[in-house]
Amino acid sequence: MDYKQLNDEYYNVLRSGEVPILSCKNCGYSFTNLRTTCPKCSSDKLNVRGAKEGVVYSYTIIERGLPFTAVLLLVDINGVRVKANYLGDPKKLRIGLKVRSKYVKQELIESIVFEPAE
Amino acid sequence: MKVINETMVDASIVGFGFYYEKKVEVPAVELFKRSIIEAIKMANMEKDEIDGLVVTAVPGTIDNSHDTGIFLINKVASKVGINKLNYFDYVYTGGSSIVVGTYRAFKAVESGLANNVLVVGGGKGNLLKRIRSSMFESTIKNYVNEGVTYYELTIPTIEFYPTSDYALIANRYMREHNTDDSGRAMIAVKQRENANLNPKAIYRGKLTLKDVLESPMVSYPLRLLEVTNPVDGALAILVSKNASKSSISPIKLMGFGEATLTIPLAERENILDTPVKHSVRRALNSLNLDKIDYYGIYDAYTIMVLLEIEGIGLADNGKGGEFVMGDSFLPTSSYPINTSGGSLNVGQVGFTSGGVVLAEALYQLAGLAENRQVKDARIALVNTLGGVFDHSATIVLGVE
Ligand SMILES: [Zn+2]
Repeated sequence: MDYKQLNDEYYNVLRSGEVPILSCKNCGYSFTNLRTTCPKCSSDKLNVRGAKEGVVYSYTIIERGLPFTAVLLLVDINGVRVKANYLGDPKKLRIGLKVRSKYVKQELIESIVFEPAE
Repeated sequence: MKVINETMVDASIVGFGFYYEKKVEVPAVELFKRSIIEAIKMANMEKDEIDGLVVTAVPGTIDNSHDTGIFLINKVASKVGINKLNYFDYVYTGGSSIVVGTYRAFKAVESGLANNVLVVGGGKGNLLKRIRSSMFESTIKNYVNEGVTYYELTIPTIEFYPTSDYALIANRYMREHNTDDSGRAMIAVKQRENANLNPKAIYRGKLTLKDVLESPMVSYPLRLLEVTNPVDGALAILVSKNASKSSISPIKLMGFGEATLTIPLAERENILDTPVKHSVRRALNSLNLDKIDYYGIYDAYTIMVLLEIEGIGLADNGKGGEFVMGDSFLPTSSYPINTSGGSLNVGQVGFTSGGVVLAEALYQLAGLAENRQVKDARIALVNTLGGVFDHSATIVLGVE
């Protein structure tokens, strides 16, 4: 897929508050890193879709090494994983928690974070 | 046509030197030199006899430059005063580099590329630690840091790579296997017991399971005493076709295997599925684990050791904690592991635990482990990791 077109589609989905998921039209593999080719079969026939809800597959609360505490998640979206930060109630945090994505922008960096969906 | 096999010679490790300090104010190449001098001395060789050099360093641990490849090789060679080299290699597979480099040195000697090949890996762990903390300070405001890892175009995240990745693995491990922290934390306790037998360990003193579980949280569920701390130093290993002058019994290569996962952590179907079993299987070949007298296990984080124990086959998946609780780790136990105390107690020399675990296996095989010597240690298996289970390299070494 053309990088510019892919990048535009990716960021359109991201700005709508959803996680951009890339799928390979050749082998069906889906992934969330922005790549111009499929890492399984190297096909460049990709499409981009969005997904909003997932389940916490694993998490960690980072208390040292950074100037503040941050929560990092691996979220499972029907078998597709994404790594992102969590900005919800720390007391609700657990593996298996249903989470919903949200668009954030801080200075020039655009990203997706998760909050509890339940 | 098998030209190379016709000239195949018998190679062995004839000397090694392991130099490290908690922190030293000398250039990194000076650390390389000190370890090399020790290795050459143990081998009873002259530096002019060295005709091959394999170097590895974690980028950022060498002063005032990001030198890699031939630039660093030449810098090290000229520091030591080695002027005629026939074989050069620069290896970088992360924490497993020194093991991969050692294997390549054996192959270089066996195939006749060179006669006496030095492998050296290390650097200033403190230097990279300092660079990393200033990086966090300058970039954190922009909601980005190293979290945008070498895979580049991920959704930007705030993370503490690679610690937070290993924490994600440790948390998932407890969930899948329905365990608590104790088996994993016990690794730190067992290794500290070993460190108390090693006068050169930087961290010593009594340590209980309670101490580990009550140490400050770094990245849940990993606590401070489960995480290694970078220090300065280097390991040098001399592989030669001539073992007759050496002051140690020649250490032979019995097996080697490596394996990688080509996709990043976030995309792995099961983050507990590591490449360790593949590299170990290749390294063991037809050898059984009951022939192994000593284990060196890469230990930057306790969770690595736990999953390596399972990958090596010392315990079933999910049962690594039970194995740790049993008769293991101490030199007198059924399964001596990381008898120096590992990098959790020696420190992570040059920002990698590979040299620490490999060096101790060499001390054991050479019979130089003093009061932590494993009786009749003839065969050692050393497993090392690069990245977040991105690479695993296993070497099996033995003495007659
Ligand atoms: Zn594909």
